Amino acid sequence: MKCCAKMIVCVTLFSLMSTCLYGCQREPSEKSVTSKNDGSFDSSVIQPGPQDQMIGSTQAIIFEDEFSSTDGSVNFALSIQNQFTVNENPVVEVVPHYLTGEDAEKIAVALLSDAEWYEQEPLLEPNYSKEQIQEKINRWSQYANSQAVSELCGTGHGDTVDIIKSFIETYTGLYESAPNEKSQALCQWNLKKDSYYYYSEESLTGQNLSSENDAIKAVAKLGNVEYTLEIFTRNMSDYKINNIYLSLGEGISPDFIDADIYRAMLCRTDKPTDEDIIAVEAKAQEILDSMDLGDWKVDASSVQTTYYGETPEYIINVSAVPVINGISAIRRPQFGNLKSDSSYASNYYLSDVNFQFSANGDLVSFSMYSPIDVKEVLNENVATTSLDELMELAKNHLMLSDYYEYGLSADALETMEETYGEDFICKINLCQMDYGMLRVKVPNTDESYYYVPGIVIAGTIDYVGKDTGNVYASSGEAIYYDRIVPLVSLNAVDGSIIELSNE
Amino acid sequence: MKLVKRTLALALAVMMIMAVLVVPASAASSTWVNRFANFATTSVNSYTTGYASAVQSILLGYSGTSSMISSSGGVDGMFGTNTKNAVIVFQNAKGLSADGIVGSGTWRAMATAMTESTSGSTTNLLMGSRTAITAIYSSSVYNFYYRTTSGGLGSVFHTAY
Repeated sequence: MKCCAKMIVCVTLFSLMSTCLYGCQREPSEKSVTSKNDGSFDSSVIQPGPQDQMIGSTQAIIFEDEFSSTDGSVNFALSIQNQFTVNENPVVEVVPHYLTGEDAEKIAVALLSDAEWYEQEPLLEPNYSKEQIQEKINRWSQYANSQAVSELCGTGHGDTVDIIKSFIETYTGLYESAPNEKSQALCQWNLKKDSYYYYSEESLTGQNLSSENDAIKAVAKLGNVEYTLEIFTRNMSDYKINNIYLSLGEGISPDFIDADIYRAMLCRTDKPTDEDIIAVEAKAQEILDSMDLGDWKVDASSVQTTYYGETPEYIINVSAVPVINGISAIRRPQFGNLKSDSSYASNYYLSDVNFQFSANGDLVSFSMYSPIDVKEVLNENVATTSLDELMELAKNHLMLSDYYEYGLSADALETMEETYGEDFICKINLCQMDYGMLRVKVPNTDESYYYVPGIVIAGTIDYVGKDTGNVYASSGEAIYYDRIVPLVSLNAVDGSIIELSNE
Repeated sequence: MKLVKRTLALALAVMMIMAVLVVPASAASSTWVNRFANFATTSVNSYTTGYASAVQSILLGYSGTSSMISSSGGVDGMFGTNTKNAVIVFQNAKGLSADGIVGSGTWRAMATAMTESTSGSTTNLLMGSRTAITAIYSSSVYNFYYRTTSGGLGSVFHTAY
């Protein structure tokens, strides 16, 4: 009985303490509510847009405002001046395009038209010829000293030299028993279970691989540069995959140094000129058009400069988005995973393309996520909510957020506030609005998606000291890779919020 | 019952934060790697969601294994065959014993790989700037623990910082 009483006291004390501590956490005064297929979309989607729309004309928008979240932890400054070309606003149902062997061959030709593609050796049980092994040893030997590694990879690669030496030793041992002739077969462009690209057929005998992705992995050499092409497809109830990757290097090299070697060969050039950028954008568009995987349009490019010591390396990044019924999709952050429990989460990555080129137009890398096919155009030109109304809805949504939602978790924030000895406030400058097509889920199915007209509002994020104004964390530096981050997106058909993540 | 559990979990988390030891950021680099080496051994047969998510997150950010994680549905906290294969590829490339088990050596190599991914001209993640501290606190590895109830990663991390 005494013991029981003690326990009750302990639990009560602990609960009181917990409640007090929990009370220290700032919470928004209201919960954010997102409209999720409450039926308004179905009735709105059939409404025709205005007949007197001046298609092709430009519409200027100016939004200026200042507001705060309801809990006061986030200050928003809205300053958007933009011009849109007035377009029709279609609503289109799309389905995943499941990649085939025929697609894979077409993709390979589109990316590197002059290359001869071979089946990738099983990554973890390769069977290289003497010539291949010698070539690898010769290449790695050039980097078996810290100066060469530092010039190639920069600082912070203290272990790399030892790893290279150990690879050279291992491969020297393999040389004697290796076949004289190259055993790799020309790629037949047949899909097979992913494990066959890691292990030999012998090792996989008797294993059930039915739940794995189907894949084609091929390697090619163009000039002195090796490439690997990976194509994955999956149509299962848990999630869908149609991903394409082209990367530098073949097989496993010490610390994946082969990719660094080839990238240095291609990208340590003069700084790309505007003409170079225009040329690679055109090349990217040409590649996408010849793949025959739906309509895509280059939407952005930028030059990435990395210094290794005093040597610059220039990469031109080019991205593209799908075009649906003539209207481009808006770029959104890719999902972190496809296996969320939420019934509103997507089980198919957002459609997205990224290229990397050298200044000379050599392909450095390529990725395509989730090509799509149009199933049905539900409405050629749907009636949409006005931009003013959409902005008001966006503001209302943002006002219900708190400073935990912009890159730093509650724990990270509180620890940092304690470290720096002052409370933080989040300052967000809403500076960009994009209008275009956005993907939403079709209710009660994982087999198709709608593309609808919508907006994405983006801005910069800074966590600053409440008293000093010191900036402690910013987008573009640590908390997000990009300075301008998409913050809220809305479906222009029914004004509902489209979640930016897949949680 | 859920509310009680949540309250207790939050209280414990807050108390852990209050016990944080703040070290100068200049000492962070070796501390960071050493703390990783203390993480629990994680493999197909023995894992918690927090650790498995951390492994997947690191391998997703590592160029040699990125496509392996994304093509298997992303960071889901499940240590299955795909994650194991990615770990083996990573271990091979790092000259480690390639068994698919993330023990102290592999954790250490992963910590180092996270700093390598920002090599070149970009400031090293752990060079001791304010950015470095922010990067650590906001890193996906740090945050994973708090997104899961079965993590175990956070206490080790908090002891470090």
